[in-house]
Amino acid sequence: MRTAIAALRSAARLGTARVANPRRTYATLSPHTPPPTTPYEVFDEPSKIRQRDRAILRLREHEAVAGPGVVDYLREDIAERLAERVEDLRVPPGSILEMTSHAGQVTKVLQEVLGDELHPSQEAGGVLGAEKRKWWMVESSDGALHRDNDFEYPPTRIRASMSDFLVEPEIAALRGKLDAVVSGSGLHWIGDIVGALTQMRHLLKPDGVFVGAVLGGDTLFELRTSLQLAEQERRGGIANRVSPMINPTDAPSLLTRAGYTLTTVDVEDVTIHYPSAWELMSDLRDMGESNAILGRRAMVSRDVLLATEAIYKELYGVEGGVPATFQMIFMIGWNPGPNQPKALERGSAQQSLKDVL
Amino acid sequence: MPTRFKDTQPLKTLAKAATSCSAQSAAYGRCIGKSYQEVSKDMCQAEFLAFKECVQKAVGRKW
Repeated sequence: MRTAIAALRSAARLGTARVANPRRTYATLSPHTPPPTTPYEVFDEPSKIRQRDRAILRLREHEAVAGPGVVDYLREDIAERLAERVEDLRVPPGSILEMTSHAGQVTKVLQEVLGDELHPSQEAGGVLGAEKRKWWMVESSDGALHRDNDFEYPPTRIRASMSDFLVEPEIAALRGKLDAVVSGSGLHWIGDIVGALTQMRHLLKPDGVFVGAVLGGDTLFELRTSLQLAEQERRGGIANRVSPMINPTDAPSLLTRAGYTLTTVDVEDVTIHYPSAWELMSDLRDMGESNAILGRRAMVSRDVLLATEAIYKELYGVEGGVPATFQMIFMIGWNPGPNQPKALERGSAQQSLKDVL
Repeated sequence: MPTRFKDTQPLKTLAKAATSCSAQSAAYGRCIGKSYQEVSKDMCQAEFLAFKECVQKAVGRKW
């Protein structure tokens, strides 16, 4: 071996190095390669579907033994906040589709606050009560989609991929026909979020509205940092355990790039207290929110888990528990329509602002 | 053949065991917390081994 290296060295010195199997250290994109046309994939969607299905199976098992064990508190909280924003619309939407609906938590809350009576301006042919509000739910996991049957007004359930749903014939038929698309949780598992937002816009009527919430920013930063420190100390390196997430400051540009106008974005932080990191991790799993990054390490060793729990408690622990932050980014965007208020053309002002101020 | 006990909820078992070793866990946490901005491998090996041993005793098996 040593002689081979010596031979190589002398060859290199002579400038005639010919190695049969050279070890390449860096790969760079050639300037002549066109940029990739498919978006960069971050998440493992089939795994996500399996995780959600399994979470529902575990829930059923738990229900059979120990009564209800639903871990919907986070989704319900997001749904309530989202519903407040939908309620603020001047004309409540007559047809509502919920994307990445899970078990339809947002639909449920909206049905409670909106009912099924339409606004007089939406009545078909001026006959009051001739039509009712229509509901759809779209989710990629069968288990979650059919989990609940206690809807006041049964929605149409459609199973479709999270990031590529317009190819589904049932959804393609709704193109340009919906008053509103809402999404409570699940957008954080879509890598190409602009693509998904664009597809949702295609479903909307002109002047239709998208109201969505996505977890992002500082969500679960305590768990992220504790896991990183624990793996750094136990194994000498870190792995991708908690998803990369969008920043609140990115949200307006995401909406604009997807073609929405009159965008509104706001952020709400929610801190949930758990007895320890164990409960947080098992609840995340029961919500179907386990790690689903492509190329993730399949498991966490017991050693790292033990270390994580100790570090989480030390760094973030409060009296009787540990906090976990969830940052919700609420996004409202409108599909461009003919009667929408628009900014006037530049230079068309009749009065100088200088005189007014 | 006797049926072997199968742990269907290993995370819960581990959690329960770790809770019973809160003193060792806190010692390990303090060790990391002292210099969490510069963590290197096996920095708190002694504290961790004490913690792990206690957990292993509580679980009743070694790894």
